Amino acid sequence: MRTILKIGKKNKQDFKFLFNDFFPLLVLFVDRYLNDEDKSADVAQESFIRLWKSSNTFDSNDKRKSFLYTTARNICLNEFRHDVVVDEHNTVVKCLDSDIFFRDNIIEEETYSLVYSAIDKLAPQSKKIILLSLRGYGNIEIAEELNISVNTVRTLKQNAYKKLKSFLHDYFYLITVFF
Amino acid sequence: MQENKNICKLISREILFGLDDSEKNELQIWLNESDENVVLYEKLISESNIQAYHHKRSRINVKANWKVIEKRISSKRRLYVTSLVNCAAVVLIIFSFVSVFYLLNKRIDNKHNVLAHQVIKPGSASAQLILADGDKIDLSNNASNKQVEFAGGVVDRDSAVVKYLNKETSEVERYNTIVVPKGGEYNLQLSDGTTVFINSKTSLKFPIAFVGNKRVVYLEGEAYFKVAKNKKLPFIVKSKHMDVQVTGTEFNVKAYNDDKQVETTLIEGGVNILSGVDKKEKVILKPSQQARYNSIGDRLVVEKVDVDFYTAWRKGQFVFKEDRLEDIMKVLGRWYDFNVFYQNKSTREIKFSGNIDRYESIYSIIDVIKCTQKLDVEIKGKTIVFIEKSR
Repeated sequence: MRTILKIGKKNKQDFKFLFNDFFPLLVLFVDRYLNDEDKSADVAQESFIRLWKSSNTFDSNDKRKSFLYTTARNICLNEFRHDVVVDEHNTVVKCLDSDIFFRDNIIEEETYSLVYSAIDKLAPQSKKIILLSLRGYGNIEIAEELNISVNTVRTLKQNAYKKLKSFLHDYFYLITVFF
Repeated sequence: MQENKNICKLISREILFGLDDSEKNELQIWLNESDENVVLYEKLISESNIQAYHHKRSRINVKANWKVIEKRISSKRRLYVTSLVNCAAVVLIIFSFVSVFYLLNKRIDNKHNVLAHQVIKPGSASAQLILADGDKIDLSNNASNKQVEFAGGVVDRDSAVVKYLNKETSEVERYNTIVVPKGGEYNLQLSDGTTVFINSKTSLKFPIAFVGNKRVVYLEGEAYFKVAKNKKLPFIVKSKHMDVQVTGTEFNVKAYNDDKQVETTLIEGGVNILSGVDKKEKVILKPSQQARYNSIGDRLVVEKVDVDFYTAWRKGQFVFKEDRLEDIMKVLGRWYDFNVFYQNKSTREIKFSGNIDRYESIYSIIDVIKCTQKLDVEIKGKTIVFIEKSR
C-alpha cells in the first residue's frame, strides 16, 4: 500500500527573507576564514542550500542561523587544508579551526549586523550622517561632505541616536544563540 | 550563551553612541575575562575595521545571489513518495520533526472530512474593546473603516488606541478592557508606548492613561509584553496568582484560569515576580528564566528555559514537547472551535511532540494523531472523540 506524504511545506518566501537578511553576514563571516570574497559567496550559498535541504525543523531563526554558521565553518575547514595561518615570523597568527576563532567571528558578524541593521532603518540623510561619523568624520566635515549646515547635522544626528537606541532595544530577535 | 548576545549588544551600542556606567562595567567584566576578548573588542571598535566591513558589505549583491540559489532549490519537486508498510513509525517521527504536514490519501476518512472541513475552523475571530463606561466596540479587521466613532471619541481598530474628545476624561485613570475570544489574536498599544501581543481567549484590563506612580494592567490569559522603558514608573501585570513588576523590558505571561499554573518567561531586562499567599513572595528573574507558580501546591519554581518554546505562539506556532493529549487539545481549543471527549483516562495521557502551524487545518492534525495508531478518532460536526485502540 502506498501513501503519498508531503513532508514539510518549506516556505520559499520565509526562506527568501532569511536569505536577504542573513546572506551578507554569512559571506563576511566566511571571508574571515578564506580571505576571498568570491569563494566566500560560494560557501555561503552552499550553506543556505544545505539549510533548505535539511530535514530538521528549526523553530526559530536563531537556530537556523546557528546551523548556517556551523555549516559554513565546516565547509571552510573541510575544503581548505591549512588550518593555521602564520605571519612572516612564522608565528601562528590565527588557528582557523579553534572554537575561539569561531566565536570571535560570530560576535564580530552579529555585532556589525546589529549596527548596520539599525543604521539601515534610518532615513537616507540621517543614515549618511551616521555612516560618515562612524568613519571618523566630525560634524563640520560631514556638513561639508553633504553640503548642509552644521546645525542640520547636529539635529539629525541627535534624532538618529534616539532612533538607533530604540532599534537596538528590539535587537533580541536578530541575534544567534551560541553554544 | 546569553553573555555572548549581551556582548554584541554592548559593543554595538559603544560603536554607535557610547555606553552608560553600568554598561561600561558589564563590558569591563567581560574584557577582564581574557586577552582574546580585549583583542576582539579593540578590533571591533576600530574605525579601519568598521570601514573595511562597510566596503565589503556594500559589494555584496544579494539579489544576484538569490537568483542563483533560487534555481537550485526549485529544481526538484518537493514531493517524497514512499511506500509505507509501517505508517505508525514514520508518521510519529514526522509529527515530531515537521512543522506543516498533511496526508493526501485519506480515502476512508475523506467522507467525514469533506463535510467537516467547513465546521471546525482555525482562528480569525475578532477582539472586542469594552470601554470604561460599558460601550463595546468590535475590533474586527474585516470592517472597511479603520476607525470607529463612539459617544466619547474615536477608536483605532488596528491598535485599540482610543482618542477621547474630552481631554479631561483621558486624565482620570479609567480602565478599558480588551477581550480576545477563542481563535483570536490582537496587538495592543498602551498610552506609554508599551506594546502587548495578546493570545486567544485572553482579556486585558488597562487604563486609558497612566496616572499616578505606577502603570498597572490586569491579565487573564496569555500575552507578550514589550514594556516601554520608564524607570520612574514601574509597570505591573497583575493576574490571579502572580504579579509581574518591571521598569522596561520584554516578557511573556501565561495565566489562563483553566491552567494549573501561571508562567512568566523573561526575554530581556529584569522583572520582579510577586506570588504566593497575598502575593508577598518576591523573586527576581533574569533573562531566559521562567517563574512558574502552582496555586494548588503554593509552589514557585524559577528555571532557565528555552525562550523560543514559550513564545512560539507569537510566530504562529504551537510547539509541544512530550505533552499529554488532553493538554494539547486544551491549547488547540483556545484557537480552534471544537468540543473534545475522551473515551477513558488512558487516552488523555498519550504523549506527543511536534510543531503545528496555527493556520493549519485541525483535520490534518487529527489525521496524523490517528496515523500513530495509538488511538482512534471520530469527528462529528464540531465534536472530536478520542477512543482507545482495542488490541
